[in-house]
Amino acid sequence: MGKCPERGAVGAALRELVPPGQEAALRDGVDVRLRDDGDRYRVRVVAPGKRAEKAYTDAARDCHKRARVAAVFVFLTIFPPELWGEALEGAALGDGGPGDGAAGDRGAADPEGRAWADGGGLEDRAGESSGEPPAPSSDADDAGASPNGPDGERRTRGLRFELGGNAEVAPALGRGPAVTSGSVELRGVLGRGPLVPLIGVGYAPEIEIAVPGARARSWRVPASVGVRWRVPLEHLWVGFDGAAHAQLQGVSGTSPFEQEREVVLRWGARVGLSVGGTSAPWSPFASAHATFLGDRRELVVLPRGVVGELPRVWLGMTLGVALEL
Amino acid sequence: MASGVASRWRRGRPNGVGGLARTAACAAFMCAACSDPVQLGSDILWQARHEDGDLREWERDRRGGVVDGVADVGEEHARAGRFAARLVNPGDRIDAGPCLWRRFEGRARAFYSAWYLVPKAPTTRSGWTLQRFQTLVPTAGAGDGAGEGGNAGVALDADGGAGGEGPLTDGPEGEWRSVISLGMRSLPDGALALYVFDHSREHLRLPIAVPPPILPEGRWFHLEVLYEAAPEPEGGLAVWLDGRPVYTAVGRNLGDGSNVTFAVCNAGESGEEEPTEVFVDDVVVSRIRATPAGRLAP
Repeated sequence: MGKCPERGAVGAALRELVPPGQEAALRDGVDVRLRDDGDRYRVRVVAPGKRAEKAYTDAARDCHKRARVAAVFVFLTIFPPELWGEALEGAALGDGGPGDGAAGDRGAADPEGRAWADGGGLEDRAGESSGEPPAPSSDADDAGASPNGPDGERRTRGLRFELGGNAEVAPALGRGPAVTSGSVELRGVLGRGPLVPLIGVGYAPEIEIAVPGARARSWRVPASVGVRWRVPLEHLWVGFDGAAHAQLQGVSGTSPFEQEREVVLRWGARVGLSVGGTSAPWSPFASAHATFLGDRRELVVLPRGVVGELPRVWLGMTLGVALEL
Repeated sequence: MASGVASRWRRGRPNGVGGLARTAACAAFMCAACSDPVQLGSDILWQARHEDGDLREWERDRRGGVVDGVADVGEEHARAGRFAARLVNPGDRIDAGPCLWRRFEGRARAFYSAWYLVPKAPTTRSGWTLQRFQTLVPTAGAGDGAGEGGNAGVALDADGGAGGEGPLTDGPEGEWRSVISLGMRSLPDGALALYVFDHSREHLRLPIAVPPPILPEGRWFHLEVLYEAAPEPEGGLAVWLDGRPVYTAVGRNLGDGSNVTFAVCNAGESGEEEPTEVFVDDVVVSRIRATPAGRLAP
């Protein structure tokens, strides 16, 4: 008796179901077996963490129909419906969408769904016809790597870069003058989950600092290491950032008769609030931050002595784009 | 001036290896003690701190020195550091007493300051000069007087010298010197009041301020003068005693700043037989006010 369904026909039907980019899900560790029992046939799927077997009745021996039913069973085992909104949708966007393909396939499978109901439970596998996976198959970890968690909550990807332009202002506090500055900053968010490590480095080109009795120019290279608490919303996420902050700051006197230049290392803390989009891989983000420098740096001109201080508080806004890898 | 321009951009001195070491220490320990001040530079044109133990800061480049008496540097008193200059006035005649002087060229506006210590107040019988400014003021038809300033320094005399507190005679080559002195005179209670005397016949004594600016006895005090070596009406001066403004004189013909001689002195006649000592330290000429709280070194 010939095999009905044919292994190749099941593979072809399965390939039609799997959305582009998700073929890897069928590649490794997936074992599909078919058995033809005449007016009945059985399908068994074993995948990492999953095992399913079903028997169907088909007295007409419509091999084409059997192949499609078997393919749908395999597909639904590897990609259960609760993952459609994430793995399939996210992966196949731009190619007509997995939802489209899945909807069509689900429509074809519905009649077979009734047949499954008739199929009953597991049966003895003796005499099963063994077959290779009819289609390239899978890596179950992919489900975990999807941007959505099992509970449907959107999660960060493993690596995120944020490049932004800052507009910062240092208010006049104490002997520190009011200063405005522009800067660029690159931040990296590492890992998944709501609480992730955050690192950042930036560059603020020279600006003029004017204090009573002296003028100077100053550049900064700020860097920070901390964490971000990320809260997912409908189409956005909100992040609360807290970080230890350090900055190299170069200061050059411009008004004194004999001018000096120094580079100092300063340190402090930085807090921020970030908002970003959830589209991938590129998405916009905006943030506001406040930086507090713990060290007091007096500005000295001889012979007057202390003429002011370097700013110790910076408030800033950032606009930029993020890249998720 | 050229040397000043050439030395304007000094990159290494405060930073240098020491600065890098401090920065490295900061990086290593992130300590609060790493908040050293940031040096923007210096507006000091010249200074004499006397920490070499001699008067070479005054005499350098042959632009200054001692005139008319005994001046040396010792450790007996020092405002900061170890040494201070000591000027000894025998007080036995009206023009007695030494001056330490220094000549500046091309400096129309500057602040001249010095710390003084008068251990024991003398009873002044004449004008008693503590600080003096002398400028070459070209007159109509005068030749180029630049370069004569060295002689001007040597020509310093005390208020109440020959001619009393009258003006100096005309200078060489049709020039005359504008001379303004700051000095002290005894009040009836023995305190010393600061006065300003302009040797120009048009001005002479400035009225004593009310209340009189009293020079303390036995402790260091700071005397600072903004001297605007400019023709009338821009020329003038302002005086601060221990950071407090006490005198202002404007509308003076004080030359064009091409040649200014500044001196600290202890010159005058006292009522006592023993010599009068005045100590001077941390003398600064700068583009900005030094003030008593100022710093002379990083």
